[in-house]
Amino acid sequence: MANPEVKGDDYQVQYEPASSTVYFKGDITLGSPKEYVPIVKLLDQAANADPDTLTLNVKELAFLNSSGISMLSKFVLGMKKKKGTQLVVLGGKKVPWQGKSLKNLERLLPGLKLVVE
Amino acid sequence: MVEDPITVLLIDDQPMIGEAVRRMLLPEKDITFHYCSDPTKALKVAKSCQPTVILQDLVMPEMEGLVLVRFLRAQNAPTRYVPLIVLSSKEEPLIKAKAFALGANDYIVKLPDKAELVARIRYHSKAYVNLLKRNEAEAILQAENFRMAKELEMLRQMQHMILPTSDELEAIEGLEIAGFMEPADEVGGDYYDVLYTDGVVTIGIGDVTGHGLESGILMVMTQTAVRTLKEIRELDPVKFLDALNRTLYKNVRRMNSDKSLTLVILTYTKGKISISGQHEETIVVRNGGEVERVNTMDLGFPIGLDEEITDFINHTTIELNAGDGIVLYTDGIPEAYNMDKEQYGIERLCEVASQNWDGSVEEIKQAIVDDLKGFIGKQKVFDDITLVVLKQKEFDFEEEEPVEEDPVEEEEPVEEEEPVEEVNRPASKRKKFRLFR
Repeated sequence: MANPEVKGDDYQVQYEPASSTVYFKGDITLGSPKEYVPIVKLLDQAANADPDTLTLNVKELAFLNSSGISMLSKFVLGMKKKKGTQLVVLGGKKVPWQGKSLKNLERLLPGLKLVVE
Repeated sequence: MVEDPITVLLIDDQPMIGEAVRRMLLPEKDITFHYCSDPTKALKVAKSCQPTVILQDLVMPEMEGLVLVRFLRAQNAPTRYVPLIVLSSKEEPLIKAKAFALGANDYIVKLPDKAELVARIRYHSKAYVNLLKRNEAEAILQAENFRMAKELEMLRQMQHMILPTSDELEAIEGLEIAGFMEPADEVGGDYYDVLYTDGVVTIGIGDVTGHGLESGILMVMTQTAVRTLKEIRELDPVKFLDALNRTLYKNVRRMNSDKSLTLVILTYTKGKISISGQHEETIVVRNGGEVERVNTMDLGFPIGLDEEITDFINHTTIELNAGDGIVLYTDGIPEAYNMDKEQYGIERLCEVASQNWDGSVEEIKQAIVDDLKGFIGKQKVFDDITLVVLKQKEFDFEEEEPVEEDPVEEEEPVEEEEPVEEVNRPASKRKKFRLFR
């Protein structure tokens, strides 16, 4: 079976259960929190599998608008309740939005492991 | 289901036909029958009895039948859309075709069988009543849309009215300030304000996630909360942003909303400006156009996202000499797209600000807005756009006793009560500015 994914013209979000990783790629500029619901559902699906480590790979996510950052923040806040899962965020140094916004995720969830390479 | 009542109007010069049809329809309790023998009075009668079906003779002495069809179908006739069944004494394909071309809906050779006549009347009447109902529903919907558009327009206007007026901005001593705001939809989620009391200027700029009604209401709440904190003269940035965050966090939760906002608060007194809160980079432009970018990620946290943010609140202080200034904006500017799906970018914003820095704040603001609009071109505007440009005016040097430089102010940029203290010791600052020039 193909991995669950959410796709748009300029982006792709894919959940790979085998490695407990959610890959984000492209530019996500959805207009409102409502439009982010399918992505939230995909993230929840990944989190509800209760893996030891859940990785969000955003290295190839060139742009995420403020509604998207807010969505990601909410998800990270929700992970506070899931003590059994270590959340890892893999970012890229060259992507401007990440340099700033990923730090907020670390603050929201002090146990979060942020790897920027 | 109760069928809608049917009203039939027969126009025929022969009373005998009128009587025959009346008798055919008599047993049908839901059908009201009207008869008009004079075709010249047909429209008048139709106006008063409001038929849902018209039966019309084609051969009458007073008026040619097809002419009457034309009248009944005229642009402004009340019968324009009422189903019209033409009665004729003979089967005549050419006349039938003409009648249909003029707008008749059906053609019956008289006198028809009763069952057929009733069935055709019912069929046409039902279609007409449904059309009337659809039209009515559409009119209600249109009125509702109109009302909603009006209300959105009102909220948009209120949002605009809550912005600082040019009179207020001009009254501010020490700073020249110009602001610009344009929502992507009727209602935006951007916020900016300039508040001035007791020589302290508080400038706030923020961006509620998304835009539209909910974001717009949060924007207005933010404005009120900031103004309240300003009125109680809260100058400690930690207390200020903490109270603001808890206020909006609790409101957002109550509203069951998932919105949050970035917000930076700048506090200005006599050449010194303190920055706190997390928002886009603050652009400092020096006299001459040199640009410094201040990252605010470590100065705060998104507002309304989490209940406790005090640990993340900090502030930094910038000194402004005459001609120095600051450009504040929301992400609608750097993240605006052109037709090639490229973003405007903060570098271009800095460049345009720098190149136009010689002008007044109004001119600088306009230069940025024009350049941005030129860049966006025919592309859709996706996000609200807000821009605030401020510049330090020439200092009015009063003769004051030269005071020794206070070493404390040099090493303590994170001191919380700073803006207040500055009010009391402007002399040394002024001295320093003179030395810089």
